[in-house]
Amino acid sequence: MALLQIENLTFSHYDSKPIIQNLNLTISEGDFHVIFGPSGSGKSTLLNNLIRAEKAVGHLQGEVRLRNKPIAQYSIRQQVSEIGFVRQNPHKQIIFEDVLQELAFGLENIGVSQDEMKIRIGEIVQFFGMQNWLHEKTDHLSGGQKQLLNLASTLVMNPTIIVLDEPTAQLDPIAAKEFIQLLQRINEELGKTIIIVEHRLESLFPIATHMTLIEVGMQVCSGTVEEIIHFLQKNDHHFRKCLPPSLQLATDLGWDEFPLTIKDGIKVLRSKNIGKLAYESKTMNRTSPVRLEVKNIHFRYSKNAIDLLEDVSFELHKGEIISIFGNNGSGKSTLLKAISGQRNFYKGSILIDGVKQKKLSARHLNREGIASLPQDPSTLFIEDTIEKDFLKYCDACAISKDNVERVISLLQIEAIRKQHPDDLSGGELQKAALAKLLLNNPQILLLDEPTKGLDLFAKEQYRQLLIQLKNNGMSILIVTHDLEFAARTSDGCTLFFDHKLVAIKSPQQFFKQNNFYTPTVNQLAKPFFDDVVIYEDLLSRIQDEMGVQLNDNSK
Amino acid sequence: MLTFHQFHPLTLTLYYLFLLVILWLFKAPIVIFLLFISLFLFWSISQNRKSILNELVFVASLSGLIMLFTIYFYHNGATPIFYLNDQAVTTEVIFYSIVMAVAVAATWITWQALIISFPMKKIIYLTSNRSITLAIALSNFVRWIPNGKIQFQKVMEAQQSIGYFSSQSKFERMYKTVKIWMNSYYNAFENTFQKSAVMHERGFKSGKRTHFQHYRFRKTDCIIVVSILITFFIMVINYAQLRYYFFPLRKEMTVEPIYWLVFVFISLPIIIQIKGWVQWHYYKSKI
Repeated sequence: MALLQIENLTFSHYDSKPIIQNLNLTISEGDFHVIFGPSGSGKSTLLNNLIRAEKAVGHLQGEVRLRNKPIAQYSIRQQVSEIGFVRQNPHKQIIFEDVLQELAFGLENIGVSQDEMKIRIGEIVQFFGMQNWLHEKTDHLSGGQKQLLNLASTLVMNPTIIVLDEPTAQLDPIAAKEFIQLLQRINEELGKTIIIVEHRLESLFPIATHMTLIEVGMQVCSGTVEEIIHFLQKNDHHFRKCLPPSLQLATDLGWDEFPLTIKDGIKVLRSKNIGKLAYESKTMNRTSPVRLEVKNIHFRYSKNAIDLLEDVSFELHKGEIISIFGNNGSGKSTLLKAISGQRNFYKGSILIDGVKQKKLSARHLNREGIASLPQDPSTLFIEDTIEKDFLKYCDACAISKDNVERVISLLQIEAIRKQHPDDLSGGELQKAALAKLLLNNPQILLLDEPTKGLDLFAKEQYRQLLIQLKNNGMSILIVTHDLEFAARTSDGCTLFFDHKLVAIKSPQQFFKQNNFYTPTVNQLAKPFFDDVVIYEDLLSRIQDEMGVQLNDNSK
Repeated sequence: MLTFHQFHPLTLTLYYLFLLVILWLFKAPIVIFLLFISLFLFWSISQNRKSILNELVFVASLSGLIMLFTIYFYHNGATPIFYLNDQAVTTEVIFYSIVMAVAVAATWITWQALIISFPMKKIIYLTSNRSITLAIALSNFVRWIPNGKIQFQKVMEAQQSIGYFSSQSKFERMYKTVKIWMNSYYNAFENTFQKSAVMHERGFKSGKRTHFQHYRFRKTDCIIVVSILITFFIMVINYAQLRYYFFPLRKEMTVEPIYWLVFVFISLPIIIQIKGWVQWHYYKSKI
């Protein structure tokens, strides 16, 4: 019997076109159902309509049935006991100042006795391994811990269905993988039904049971994982790029195998005798002049604390893109703030075009020629509309207003120029924020997690824009968890570890020495070509090899 | 070790309400000044040096503005010192403006101390089984100001980093700061509705609630509550005698016997915290 049925669901805000149209979904008990699609396609709106308490204001048609009964007929208490919801932003979901109370809140609301609460919380804490931070303040938790707490707070209520809206969007790659593995355990060991919206699909294909693709509010395809893969391959759909690289390879090369995991992919490649040819690894070519030089900077937040930045030194050349990786809380964002002038380091120096930079006063916390994108891009906007904000900023910084049209056209944000910043999706906000920074024609761009909230295609557009800026001579420093994006975009990569930056290397040289902090493509290719970091390179090398093999066979 | 925050939420509610009512009902300058000093010390114990300095700057600025405003618009009193726009500025008004400025500062710092004493869970504990709407409104209102502060700092930093404050005009920079301040607190206010939505998603308005943590009403709570009620009752009966007036001539400043009890209440948080600190160090020395 179907657990959840969505029939002809159509939703629109008043006086606007539908956000979702005629959606039909059937979810059975124990399913691990992945919903995917481009940003703004209505996925989050669909999830919101599954939870009566959080219904968006608008016009709804169609029906959602839980155990064959319309969901509207369930009381709120019954609903929250059946369906748990984990949002994208871990910070916005947490209510209380301490972890224990956060875990208990849902149980208090459904009237569970104190003794039973203690047992259920104790069990969940064990399952999630939260013992060491159980008595911490929620403000002091890392992003990964916060998202775990949200999942634990949801699971402690023992719902039948757990709904997750891009839960790994703000997590580093290792935390994201661990989170997905935990979801798999919850699905397999506890039999919970999982409905998840995600952009990072590679790790979900092997564990999902069903998938649904939504575009422009409409259901393009829904079915088992095999059916979805077959649909994407047969129609050469642009979302084929979301398939695991091993499967993409098999499709592109016309192989019969169906490898979903890295392990299966490596087996297939071994069977094809790949990896006999030698290749030269790409190295960094740093001949352009040094634009930014960071020399031995030290920084700590207070006298008695340890250094967050300890003897950090590196160079950024003209027309270069460097990506910095590292765990949450390791100091990467603080490094960007130290460079842009928002944090005064107590030792060391920063030189821009060979000129040593002075410490900035509290009033002027910006260095000339540097633009910095914060982790929360909404803090860059203070006016009612994007266009108004750009114009006010031009007035404030004595910039020509012609630049407003230039950046709007460059970032292709014409459609959102009259919108309020709070009404934009995550991806739109990132683009608008970058546009604002480009108004002042900076020479150095510092980007903190710029691809957060962007789908695959938006990321590609963003990447092309950064390359264009780079080719025009801009120097770009990116702090990111997005390994694939960095591999495609950067000239150099480095890791922030133990309060320092390790040596900057080309993406190929950097990733080849890593087993965990590396794109999925590199994990697949490592036994054969350890310096391959993007899919196209892997495909081309295998095609070379196959060409060579075919030539050998024909002799 | 008992700390002030560990009293029953009802006791704490009554305590803070009592202080605010006494402050504004009687307006006794000695009580106002002592209240401000005592609660500021109590609040500072849990803060770092930078926060304390920022708070002092804010309180001093706010008090200064209130004093100027009062002196400019109030012309009561019998002892003029100078004339402003042909209106007399009297010693009574000056004294009144100082006392009112400190009263507002004391109210602000009482609010700050209350936020520390009342995490969300205590507010929910007190109000949720009486009125869910009140519980949501109060808990989100209490979090509004701390969240507004955080948002203000984030936005200020981001805007400073892109050169928004690069103007030479002090007035323009001040205007922009006020604009960001209003924007941040408005955003924080809007976000409280989002928290409400999250609370609803987890079944907050779905029926009778149980509690994970129960607060014991101890003997000390009983003593404090009864003492507060008796003190307040005595003060209300003697309102005419106890209330302080500023105009036309200000009342002679005397310490009525009942005020000694009020002083004890005002100093209670800091006395208990110091006692707890001493006790802890004593036990630590035995480890």
